[in-house]
Amino acid sequence: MLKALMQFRNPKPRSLVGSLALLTALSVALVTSVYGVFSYQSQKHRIVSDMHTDAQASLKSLSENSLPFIEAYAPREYEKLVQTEARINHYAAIILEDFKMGEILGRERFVTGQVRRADGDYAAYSEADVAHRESLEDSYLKEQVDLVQSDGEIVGTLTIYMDDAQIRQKLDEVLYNTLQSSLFLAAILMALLTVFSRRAVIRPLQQVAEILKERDEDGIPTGKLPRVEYREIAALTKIMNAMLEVIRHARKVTEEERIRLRAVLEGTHVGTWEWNVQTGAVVFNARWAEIIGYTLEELEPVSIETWTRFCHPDDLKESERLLKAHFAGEADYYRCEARMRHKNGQWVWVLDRGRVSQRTADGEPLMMYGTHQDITAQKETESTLRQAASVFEHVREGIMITDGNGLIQDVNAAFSRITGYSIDEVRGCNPRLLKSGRQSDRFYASMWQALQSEGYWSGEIWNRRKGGEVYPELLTISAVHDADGNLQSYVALLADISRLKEHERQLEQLAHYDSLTGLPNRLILSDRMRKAMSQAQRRKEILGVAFLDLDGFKSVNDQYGHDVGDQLLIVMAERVSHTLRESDTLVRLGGDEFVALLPDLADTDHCLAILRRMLSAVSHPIHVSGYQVHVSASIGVTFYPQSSEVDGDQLLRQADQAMYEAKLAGKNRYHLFDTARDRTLRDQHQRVERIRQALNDGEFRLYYQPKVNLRTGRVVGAEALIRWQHPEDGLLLPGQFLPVVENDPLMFDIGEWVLCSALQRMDLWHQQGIDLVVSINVSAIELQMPGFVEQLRAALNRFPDLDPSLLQLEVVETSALENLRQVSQVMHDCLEIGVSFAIDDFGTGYSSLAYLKGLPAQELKIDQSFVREMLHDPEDLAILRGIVGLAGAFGKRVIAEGMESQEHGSALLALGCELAQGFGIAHPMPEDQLPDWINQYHQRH
Amino acid sequence: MTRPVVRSFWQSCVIALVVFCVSSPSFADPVRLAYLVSDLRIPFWNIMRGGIEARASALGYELSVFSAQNDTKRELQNAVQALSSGIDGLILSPTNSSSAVTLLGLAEEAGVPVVIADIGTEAGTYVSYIESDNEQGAFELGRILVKTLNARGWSEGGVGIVSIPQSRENGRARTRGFIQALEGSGFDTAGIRQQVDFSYRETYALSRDLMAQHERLRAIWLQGSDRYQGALDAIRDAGREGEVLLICFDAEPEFIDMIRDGSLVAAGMQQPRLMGAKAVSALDDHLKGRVVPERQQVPVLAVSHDNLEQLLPRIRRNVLGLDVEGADAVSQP
Repeated sequence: MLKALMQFRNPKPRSLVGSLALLTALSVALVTSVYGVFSYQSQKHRIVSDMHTDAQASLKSLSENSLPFIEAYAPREYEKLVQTEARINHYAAIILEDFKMGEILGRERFVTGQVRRADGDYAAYSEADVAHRESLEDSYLKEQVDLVQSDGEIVGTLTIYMDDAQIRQKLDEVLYNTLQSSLFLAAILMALLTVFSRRAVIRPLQQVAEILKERDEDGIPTGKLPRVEYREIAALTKIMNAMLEVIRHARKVTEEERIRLRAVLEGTHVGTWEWNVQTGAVVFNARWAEIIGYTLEELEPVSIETWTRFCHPDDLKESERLLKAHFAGEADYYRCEARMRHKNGQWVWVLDRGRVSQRTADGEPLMMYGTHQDITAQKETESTLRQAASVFEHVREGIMITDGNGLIQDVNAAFSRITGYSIDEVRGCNPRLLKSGRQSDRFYASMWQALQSEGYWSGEIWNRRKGGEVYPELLTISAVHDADGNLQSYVALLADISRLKEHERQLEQLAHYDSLTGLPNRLILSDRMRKAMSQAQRRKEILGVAFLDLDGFKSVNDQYGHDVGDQLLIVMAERVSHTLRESDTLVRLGGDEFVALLPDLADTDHCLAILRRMLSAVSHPIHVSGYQVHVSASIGVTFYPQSSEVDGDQLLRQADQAMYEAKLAGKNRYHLFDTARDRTLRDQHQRVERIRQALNDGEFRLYYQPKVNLRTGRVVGAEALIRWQHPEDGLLLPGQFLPVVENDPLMFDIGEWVLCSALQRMDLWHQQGIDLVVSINVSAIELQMPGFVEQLRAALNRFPDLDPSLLQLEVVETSALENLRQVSQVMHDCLEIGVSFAIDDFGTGYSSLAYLKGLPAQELKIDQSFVREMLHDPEDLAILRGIVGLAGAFGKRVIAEGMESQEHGSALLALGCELAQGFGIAHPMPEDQLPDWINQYHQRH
Repeated sequence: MTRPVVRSFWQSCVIALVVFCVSSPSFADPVRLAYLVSDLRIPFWNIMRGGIEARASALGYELSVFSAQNDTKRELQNAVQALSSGIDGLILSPTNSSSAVTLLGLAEEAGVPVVIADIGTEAGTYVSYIESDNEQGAFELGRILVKTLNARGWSEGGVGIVSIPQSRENGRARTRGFIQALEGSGFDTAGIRQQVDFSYRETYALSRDLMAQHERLRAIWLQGSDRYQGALDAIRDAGREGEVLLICFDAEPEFIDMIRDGSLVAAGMQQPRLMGAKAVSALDDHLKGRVVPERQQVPVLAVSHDNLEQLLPRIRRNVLGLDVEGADAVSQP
């Protein structure tokens, strides 16, 4: 059926619509061509007639108009008429012959006119021009008239020449119109035809084709053809429906047969073959080819040669023999196992079976049918079993197979070689007989647990040989289950790894021990140190760590060479080792550096004896390669545990540091590491860092203590005082933390912070309308810092609204005195900016009059010790009086610090000291409280 | 045998003679020119002839003059006669620009170079065309008229134009120049009436018509000269003497007195004698192989009361052809 369809498709059939359209177009072309020729002929006749008429009209008009000009001897004028007429009517030429002009010129006639050139323009006629003459001769039509005067005299002739351009143009028009109408007609007809043929023919046929296109896998249409309106096509579809019905029925019967057969073949998954023994023709099924990795198409063309080509030559011989026997009737069936070459190059085993089912009249076999079954897997299993048996016997590892109960069933030769037991000695025994006793019961329990849960265990184990020798082995045990998952046996693979272990041990030695001295190296040191530290802690003992460095080893190396140096090291290592106790460890770090771990010390002095022994052992001269060499040792010692947590590395560093101290102190000695000093240094550092952190974290605050005028009751200023708002310790006074940073550069950072914070607050107050002189404390060291004045100026510049004179710097008298000249210079520079100065704690130093005079400070702050005791101590009162008088003499303002009560205030006023500051007035207060306080104070006074 | 030998001998003699004549200028005939003129009865052409004769004589040419008496047939006959007489150059003042084309064609056939003196041609080949600078002359006349009107205290009004046919290039050029001069002056063109037959009656009628149509008319410009009396009579008969002024193109001998006494504001005077002389010079240049401009314009003298006396010698000679005994045309300085 498919083949028939293919033939129907090829060659490609013509389109029905296309053919009809072509036919229509040809008909239209034919009709319109005939019509066009007829039309052209009639048009041509009419045009020629019109041309004659037009020419005669032109001649008449021209002759009438040109005669007066001929008579007036005005050729130019009639030439213009001729030119105009020729152009208007597109004549090929107009020629005028003027006899009168000719007479004057002495010629027969004067010829003038216009001739159309090839480019369509006109040129004056020239008799001499050959082209002009030819143009006249080639003209299609010609009309002529005589020019006759009123008296009857002929004065010239006028001739019009016409070419066929007009006719040609007309023909073009006819052709164009014919073509246009043909196309129009053809388009209309084709459109009508298309519509009709689509409706009446094409659509039904397309429906039929669509239904026929819907086919099953065998190419049989599945649908029924529809009823069609037109009789001719309806008859066709009816016949086709009947045919399809017959085909479907026949196919159904065949299909059932086929399915049955295929089910059998697929069920057995065999290749089939049929063989015409006489011709050699064969038919294979797809499975036959598939077994050897091909498709049937790839094997085409097939014959009995295909079998012989793929069959193994040896097996082919056997096959032929068996066939012969079957043909001869010696065997009912032919059966042969043979190898065939697979596409991938391997051999596959097939079971080839068959039987002759038809014979010729002579009794010769004719048709034989049979199957191929792939038995490769079966064959491979057999082979694998054979190989496994071979492996079992020849493998180097010992193999032991037990039954599900763990009783030995079989062992191989390697097992006997490793354990010393023969198969007969161990069959039926429990593998326990190999136990060395080194493994705990827990070890075996976990092994069994792994075997039961995972069916597998692998690990190292110590076993005992028949001869009693214990040896390490690598053991792998696997549980073997049958297809249903039932435990059948255990297979143990065991390898003697005693040599491997020995090798590992040697490697370990190389990695952890110094090859020169045999002492442990740094790797062991850290491990031993860790253990010793934990032991010391556990047992409340002391661990000593001694760092030993040879003095003068380098010069030995330089003087005698490295061999001697190496010998020296070996000897020294031995000697020092002998001085140590059993529990001590000596390690060579490298070069001439050694470390001794001295655990188990009752106290630190306990180790001094050992250290002295070590020094003595090293300092004895030695003889190496004929030289007498003399060196000594410097030993640094530290102890563990310490008051703070330390690790091994720190201990080593401490010992190293102490060793260095010993070297500095003159070598050949030991030095004990001073942990207390180390801690003090660390503490100081930590405290400074904590203050630095406080500065960075914004934990500092400024408190302000007002200064008042006792007489007027006005607030005259405030002193900014630093506080530390400690997160844990609460508010700290400067005396509690500033001394820590007294000599640290951090002091300057804090000073800068105080200055900036005070200025910021002053600016804020200024914006609130409070202009208060604020003083901050500055140390003389700060004043002498290079760039202090610039820093101050820069800080002030950040607050341009602030009057610099509101800032006062307080300098302690004693510190100011120390470097009078330089401090004085800085103070002068500050004054230029507008910043004023006060001398703090005045009276505690030894101010000379010259000094007072030289210092550019405007204010003296009397030290509070004088003020506090003034009510009780007449001396202090006298001093106070002296200071007030002195200040007055030098024109300096004076203010009393430490005014603790109203009595103090009254006394101060009595002395002439109007300005005061102290608890009696107000305690230092947070910055945001000061404005309210000032208001209240002013209200009270 | 004898006859061919004798014949050959005479042939050789004739060729030798011809070669001798052509190659020996000292023995050749003087170079001959012809002047074809439409009508010598008209003073303009006669004055131009005087200029041509004087310059031709000065340059050593022999000149024949043919007047057609304003008849085209006669003009053609003159041309045929002149061309067949073996002239070397032709100066043409045709009866009209149409006949000029035919004449140029005949001259081209005969291989004779032509210089056209006035009138012009519609087509054809020629060496040079000598004409009056009508536009310049008319422009200057216009300026004179405006000045004169302003002097009378008039600052606006119309000017009527009695024109020669505007189909002629010289007519268009005159109108163009005059109107350009009036632009922005306060005076404008009240109307243009074209002459057809150039008769007294026609000029009279056109002038009356202009005055009747335009009450504000301040002047009439006559583009020709010969019918000035028609225009004057029309002004007088309209009773607008002294109110409508007259200004002319071209010249008549009596114009000198008329300009003097103020009956004519001014006249644009062509210089026919100078034009004739220039035509001969152009032909002379061409014959001597020099490059000649295709078109040469001769200035028109705009003569008014103000410059009359100063221009008088030139007018008498170049315009009126007087005082020319032994004198050539006076060129414009």
